[in-house]
Formats: sequence, C-alpha cells, structure tokens
Amino acid sequence: MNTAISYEPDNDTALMARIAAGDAAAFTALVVRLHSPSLGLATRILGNRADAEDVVQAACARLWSQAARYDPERGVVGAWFRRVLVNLCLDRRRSIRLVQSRVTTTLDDAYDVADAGPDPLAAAEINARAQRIDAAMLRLNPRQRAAIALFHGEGASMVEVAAALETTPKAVEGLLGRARNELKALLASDAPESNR
Amino acid sequence: MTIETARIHEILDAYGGDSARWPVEERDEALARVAADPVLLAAHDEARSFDAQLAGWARGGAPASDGAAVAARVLAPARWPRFAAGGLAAAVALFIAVNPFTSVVKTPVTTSAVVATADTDIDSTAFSALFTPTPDEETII
Repeated sequence: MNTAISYEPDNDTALMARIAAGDAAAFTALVVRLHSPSLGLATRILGNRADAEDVVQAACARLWSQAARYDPERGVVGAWFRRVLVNLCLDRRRSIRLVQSRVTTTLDDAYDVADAGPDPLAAAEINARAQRIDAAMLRLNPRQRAAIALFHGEGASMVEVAAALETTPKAVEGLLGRARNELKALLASDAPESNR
Repeated sequence: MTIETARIHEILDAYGGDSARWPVEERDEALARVAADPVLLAAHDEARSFDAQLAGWARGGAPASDGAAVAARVLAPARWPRFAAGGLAAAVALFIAVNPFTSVVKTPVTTSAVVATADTDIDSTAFSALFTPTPDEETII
C-alpha cells in the first residue's frame, strides 16, 4: 500500500491557483487528498499521533495562508507541501526536546504488545517489531528520523529527501547512512536476549 | 573507474539493499562487485534484511483521518473575524439605539426639522466612527 504524499501536478497547480484566490472549496479538495498521507509521514517523524495532527493542521493553515507564494517553477505542490510539513515537524521536535519522556513504550515493552488481528501471534510480532523501531527512532536526531521516514516510509528518492530537508543529496546520503547504522545498533542493543 | 569497497559499504548503509534505489551511475559496477565478494554479499543480505524491517515499520498504512474537518477548522478562523466585525458593529449600533442614556435616544422624536437640529448636537466624528462600515463590513452588508 502506497501511503506517500501523491502528486497530481496539473490538478494540484490549478487548485493552488484557486486557493491563492481564496477558493475554500479548492482548499478543502486539496487538504482531503493530502491529509491522510501527511499524517502518516508526520507520525513517523514525530512518533506521536497527537503532535502529528497538530503539525498537519499547521501545515494546512500555511497551505491556505501562503498559497500565493507557491511557485510552480520550483516544484510540484506535493513536494512544496512536504517541505512545509517536514520543517514544521523539525521545529516541533526542537521545541519539545523531552518528547521521549512522554513515550511510555520502551524497546523491551514493545515485545509485550498484543494485537486482536486474525492471527494474533503473527500480528503481535509485526506490531511489536514496528513499535521497537518506533521507540528506537525516537532516539535518533530529528533530521535523521525525517530522512528515514521520507526514504523508507514515503519511498522518496534521495533528491526528493534532499528537497524536503533543504539540503543536498550527498548530505542526505551521509545522514541516512548514519541514521540506519545508529538504528541498527539501537535495535541490536535493546533486543531481548533470545533475539541476540 | 573501479568502485571502491568502502563506497559500496556507503551505498549499502545509505540506500539499503534494494539496488533499484542505488545511484544509477554506480549500480552495475557495484552489483558486479557484490556478486564477486562474499563479504560484500553478506553486507548486501544484511542491508536487505534491515530494509524489510523498515518496510514493516512503514507499512502501517495511511492513518484514518478527516481532511474535510481539518480544512473546516483552518478556514473557520479566517472567516470568523469578518462576521465578528459585522456582528460587533451591529451590536454597538443596537445598544446605542435602545439605550435610554445615550444622547441619540434622549433626543425627542418630533419633526424632521427638529431631528436635524438634534443631530448637530451629536459629535459627528464619533458618529461616523461608529456607523461608517469598514471595507470588511461592507462586503458583509
């Protein structure tokens, strides 16, 4: 299932022109399409659904108030919105440095998470693994986390990640390399004895 | 130009094990080196295994959300001040019209000539400040 922020360049550009002119219906149409995948991306970066909802709403508010500043020459609407969203996520992470203290799930706790799916054992294992990664991700720095969420969560290319983080593809390469290695080390160090 | 072993490790670290995502200009040579070197092959397998873990983490699917409700919340404050300004002006006007302590109502309602005289008693600047609609209010009116 592709959960990435999708692009419909022609349609989006037309909608943005209407939004810039104050067309609320065009704004609603674009937000309806962008909202769910944006919430997925923000949740992966922030590790917290409530914060993600706040940030996505703030990004939508910018979409409404700054639509006139959007320049189609500089990229498609989806990429512009993603950059706004990622910046807001990074600002949010900076402003709440102690976000980890609010996360009650430790890497070991994640092994105890159950699930009521059709195959509870398998589902619980998948869920537990995802939660362990989530818990480890919270220990990465915000830009590393954003890079992983974009590259692996969104399936974005190195160039697209660089655009969202306002840096170069080469810098993202280094960022992702360090992020993956740190994540691997965190997961290995916190894995239960039976998994080592 | 031969790609160095260290560079292949960098590629595996950054891009993971899916060669389709590797830099196009280095892909073929890197794949050939990986196939010929057991150490690189093991690193490639490890990278693919880690990719699978990350894919499972990312596969959570798009969360349920209500974009229309979010759009409505964003639009609400944008619309509110206009109505608030209009409502406030109307409330002030109504208060002045019905309040027995204001000079406007104290003025006896007689003939139009008398009213015209009485109107001159009212501070014309204050009156225009209260009853001249702002551009925003005009769009509502």
